[in-house]
Amino acid sequence: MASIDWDDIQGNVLRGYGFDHGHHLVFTVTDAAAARRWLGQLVPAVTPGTPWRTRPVTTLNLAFTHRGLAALGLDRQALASFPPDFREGMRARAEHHLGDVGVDNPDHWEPAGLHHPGAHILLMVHASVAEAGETHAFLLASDASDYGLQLVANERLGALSAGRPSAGHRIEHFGFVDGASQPAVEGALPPTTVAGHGTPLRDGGWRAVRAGEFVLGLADEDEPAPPPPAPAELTRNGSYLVYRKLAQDVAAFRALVADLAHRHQLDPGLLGAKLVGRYADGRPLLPGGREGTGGRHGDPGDGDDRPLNDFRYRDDPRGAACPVGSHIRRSNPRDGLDFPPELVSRHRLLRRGMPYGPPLPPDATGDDGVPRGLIFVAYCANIGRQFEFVQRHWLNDGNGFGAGYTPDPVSGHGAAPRRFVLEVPDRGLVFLDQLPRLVRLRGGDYLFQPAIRGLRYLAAGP
Amino acid sequence: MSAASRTNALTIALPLAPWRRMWCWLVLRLLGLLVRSSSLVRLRFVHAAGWIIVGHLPSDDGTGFRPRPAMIFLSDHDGDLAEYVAAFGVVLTWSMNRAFGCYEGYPGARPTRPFVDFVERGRTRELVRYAAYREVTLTDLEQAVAVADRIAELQRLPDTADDDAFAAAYQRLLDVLALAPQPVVPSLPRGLWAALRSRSTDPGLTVLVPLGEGRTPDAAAALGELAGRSEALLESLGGVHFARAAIVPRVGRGPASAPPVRDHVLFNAWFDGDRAAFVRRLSAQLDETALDALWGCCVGYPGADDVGVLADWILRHRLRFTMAVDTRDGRSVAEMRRLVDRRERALDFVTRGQGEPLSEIRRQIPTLWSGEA
Repeated sequence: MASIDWDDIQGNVLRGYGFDHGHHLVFTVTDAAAARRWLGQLVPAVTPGTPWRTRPVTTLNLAFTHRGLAALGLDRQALASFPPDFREGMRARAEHHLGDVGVDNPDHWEPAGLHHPGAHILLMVHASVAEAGETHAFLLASDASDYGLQLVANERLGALSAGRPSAGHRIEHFGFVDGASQPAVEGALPPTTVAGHGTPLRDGGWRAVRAGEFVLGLADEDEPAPPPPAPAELTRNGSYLVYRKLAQDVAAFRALVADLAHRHQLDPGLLGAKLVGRYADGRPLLPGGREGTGGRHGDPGDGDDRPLNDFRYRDDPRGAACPVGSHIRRSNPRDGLDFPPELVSRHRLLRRGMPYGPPLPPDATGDDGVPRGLIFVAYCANIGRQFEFVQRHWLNDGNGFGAGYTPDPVSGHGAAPRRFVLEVPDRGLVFLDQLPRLVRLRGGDYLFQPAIRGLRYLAAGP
Repeated sequence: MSAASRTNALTIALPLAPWRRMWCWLVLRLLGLLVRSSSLVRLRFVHAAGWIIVGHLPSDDGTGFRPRPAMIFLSDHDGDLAEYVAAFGVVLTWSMNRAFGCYEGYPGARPTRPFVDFVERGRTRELVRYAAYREVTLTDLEQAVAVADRIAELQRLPDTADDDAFAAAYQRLLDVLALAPQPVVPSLPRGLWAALRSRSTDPGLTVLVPLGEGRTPDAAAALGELAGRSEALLESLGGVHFARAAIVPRVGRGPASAPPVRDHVLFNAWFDGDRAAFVRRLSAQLDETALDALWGCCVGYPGADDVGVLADWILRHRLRFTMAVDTRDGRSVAEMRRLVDRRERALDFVTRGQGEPLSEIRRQIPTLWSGEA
C-alpha cells in the first residue's frame, strides 16, 4: 500500500473538514508574475491534509482552472499534458459528455461564476464560525487585489441546521441527509469505517478504495502507479475538482411529493425516500421492510455508521426496497450491477460540497424566489471516468441498471423521459411519469487542485 | 456522430504481431464457439462486433502485395469507448488477452488504462456512421422483447381464464416494464450448440478497398461531406441496422521491396436479408454522388453507371469475418423499431391504467396494438 503524504496533499480532499461555513472566491489573473508572487506568499497558509491535533477555526485551499494555469504562465507542454476533459472544461463538454442540455446548457447558466472565461483561481475558505470565515475571506480578497487579481465571483456557503438529526449529519435543501456514504480511502488517517463505504467483496466484507482514485500518482483500483500528467512536480498528489452550482427547486420537490403521495395514496415520507433511496434522516431502504437505524454519521471518519451504510443491493436486486432508479443507488451502485464491484469503485467521487442560500421555510407552499441549492464539489483522479461517467451514464440514463432511458428523479439531467418506478409493500409497482425538473445547473467548471509542492512549483514560475 | 449517442462504433485496424496469423485464426474461431456462453452475454454492450484477419489485400491495379497481416476489429456497442474497453478488460480478461493479444504492441487487458490507451491510439475514426436505432441500447431491446412476450401471453389468455390468471400474467408484464430482465448466460454445451447452429458467422458486408496514390485527403473530404446526408441515404436503403465508412491508414506493413502499402476505405454494414441483394440495392439506390464519395478515390472503382459491374466490384473486395458476434437474433430493423415502440406504448398504457379495475385493463388488452402503423 502506497503511503499517503498528508503534509503535501491539500486538506479537504481525502479527509473532509466538516465545517458549517464556507466562502468560494474566484479570481482572474491580470499579471502573471504578480499572481505567482501572491501565490508564493500564500502557500504557507494553505491547509494541508495533515490530521489535526486542534481543529482550526478557518482553513484555506485553492485550485485552478486550465485557463488559470495558463494565465499563471505554465508552459505549453505542461498545459498539454493534462487530459482532454480538464483541458476542455465543463462548458465545452456540457452537451456531449455530460448531457447538460436544455435549461442546463451553458447558454442558460448564470452570468457570473466559476464558468466565467476569466475564472482562473478558486480560493476556498471553510470555517467553524461564520464571522471568522467572513473575515478570512475578506482579508484574502483584499490581499489578492494588491497583486492584480480581480474578484469575479464570491459564493457564500452554509450548512443547513433545520431538520439535522445530529451535528454529524449534512442536510441538503430538500431536507435529506447528504453525502452519507463517502468512499472509505485506503490509508486514511484516522482510519475510517470501511463497511458500506469501500468496495464490496464477494466474501461479504469490504475493502477501502485505493487513494489513487482521488489523488494523482498513487495506486488506484487498477494499477500500482498510474503516471500523473507531466511535470510530476506540479501534478503528483494533486486532484481534479469538479465544481457545479446546482439550484434546487424545493417548492417543486415538496409539491411533487405531496401530489404523488395523494394521487397514489402513499406515505409522503416513504415516497420521498423511494425517490432519493434513503429516508430524510439517512436511514437506508432495506429489503424485507428492514430499515437502517439512524445514528451519528457524516464523513466516514466521524464514527461507526455501519447501521446507515453497511448494506448491499445484491439483497434487493429488483429494487423492491430501494428502487434501482433512485438517486443514491445510481450515484453509488455498490454491488448492484452485474459487474465486478471493483469496476464500480472506478467511478467513486469524494464529495465536499455544501448548500448555498437560506432554507425554504417549512410551511412554504410556493417558491419564494430566493436562490438556493448545492455547490457540488467532488474530487477525483479522472474527470471523464469518474464524474462525467456517473453524470451521463448513471444519473442521466438508467440503462446500466435495467431502468431504461430514465434520469435520476432528483438530480438527473438530459433528454431522457422523466419516469420512475417504485414498489410499495401491499401495493406493488407504481409507475410515475412526467416528473418535473427539481435541480437546475447554474454553472461550473473543472479545476486542478495541486498539492502543496505543486503550488510551490506554480509559484516559482517558468 | 454525436458523442452523446447511446450507441457508438469502434473500428480498429492494426498489424498482427509477427507469426501470429494462424494462431489468431485458431483463437478467434475458438472464441467464436465459446462466446455465447461467456460473460459477454452478461456485459450486454454489444449489438454487433467481429474480427477480420486481413491476410492479403485484393488490389485491382496489379500492384498486389502481401503485407504483414493485419486484423480489423469492428463493433457497434452501447456506452463510452473507455468504459466498454475497461469492462471487457476486467470481465473477459482471458478472452481479451487471446484476441487482442494477436495485435502488435498489445499491452494486456489488465491494468485497463494501458489497454484503453492502446485502443484509443489504434482506433480509426468513422467518417460516416449510421445506426437505425442509435438511442436504443441492447438492454432496451431485450426488455422490449420481454414486454412483447408478456403482452402476447396476455392476449393469448382465453376469455374463460379466471381473473387470477389474468392478474398474474399482468403482473409479469409490470415486472418486465419496471426492470429489464437479467441476461441469462447459457451453459457451455448450450452455448456451443447455439454457436454451431448459428448461420451468422460471417454476417453483414465489410469491404476494404485501396485508395489511389495520394487520394487520401480527397477521400476524407468526400466522406466528410457524405456524413451530413448519410443518415437519410442509409435510411432510404431500408433494413440497415448499422453502417460505417472510414479511412484505414496503411493496413499491415510490407517488406521494404514491396510497393508501398496504401490507405484503404473501409465500409461495413449490418443489414436485413441477403448480402448479394443488399449490395445490389446499395449499388442501385444510393445516388452517384454518394457512391463516388464512398469509393471514387479508390483504385479500380468502376463508377456508378452499371449497377451489376459496381456490385461485382464491391463483392470482390469483401472481407470475411474470422469471428463475429451478432445479437440481433435475426430481427429486422422494422421489427426492432416496432418492439421498442410497443414497449413505450405498453409503459404509457400501464401508467395510465393505474387505479383502474383489472376488468377494464383486461378489456383493453386485445386491442392494445390496434391502429399501429
